[in-house]
Amino acid sequence: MDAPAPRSRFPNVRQQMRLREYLRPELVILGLKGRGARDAIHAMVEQIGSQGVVPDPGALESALLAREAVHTTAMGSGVAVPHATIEGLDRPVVAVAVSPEGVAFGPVGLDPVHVFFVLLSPPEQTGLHIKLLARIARLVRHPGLVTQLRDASSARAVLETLETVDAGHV
Amino acid sequence: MQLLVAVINESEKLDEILSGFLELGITGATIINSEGMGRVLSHDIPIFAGLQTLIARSRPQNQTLFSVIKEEEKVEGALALLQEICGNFDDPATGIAFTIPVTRVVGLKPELGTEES
Repeated sequence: MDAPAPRSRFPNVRQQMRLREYLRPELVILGLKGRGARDAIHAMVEQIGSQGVVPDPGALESALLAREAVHTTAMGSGVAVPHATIEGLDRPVVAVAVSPEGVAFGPVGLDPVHVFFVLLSPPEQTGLHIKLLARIARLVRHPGLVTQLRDASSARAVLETLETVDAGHV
Repeated sequence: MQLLVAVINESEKLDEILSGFLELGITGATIINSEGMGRVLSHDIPIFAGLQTLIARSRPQNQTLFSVIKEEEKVEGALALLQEICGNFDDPATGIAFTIPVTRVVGLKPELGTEES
């Protein structure tokens, strides 16, 4: 039986948006390997494409690479959030990829990335896209989260860890 | 519609607060550098210099955030978020927040919606 999610410290505040609503077990990628951003993005797009999430994986890969070319989505502390708006989705979706070894991603000198959140949204939902980016940016500050995700042994463990942290924040 | 005013003592938490505001759909806020009474008294007025009661509660600088928020639910969310990040405002040297009803506003940009049907 699943462990109950922790209660919010602010029970009177209606929860506006939860990351868990946009996560899918089939989009948790464990053991991601890559020699750099291009490699890592290619591997993640392959997995996302194999699940039929987007109609044109090639376009997705181009969009993610274009975004990285403008400015890296690596946030430091071992996290990156490649993201794009893509035609053919009805709602945002978040894939999570974990690389225990780490991927050199972004400018030289930045920590290797161990956890990727790939956020994809329909072009007409940019407001929600921004909210989800903000949510991810805030949750990854939770002490120990990145290490827990990096060391997770299963997709279920990744999702449970994220759900717990997600539920514990306003 | 409320004007939220929050004095944030730990400036380094500001980016996390603003990220949280975005999550709530609040896209506008004005932030100004500010200084608390304890700091001014203990540093600028000689008779109060060095008084621990004043110094203990003061920081070199704090930041004051203003945001006009239309929806009551978002006001509640913002107050909860501030305390999640800064700590309970009833504790000393964390910060303070209050709201004032706003009867009229001009130039307020739309807040972010969820867009999902």
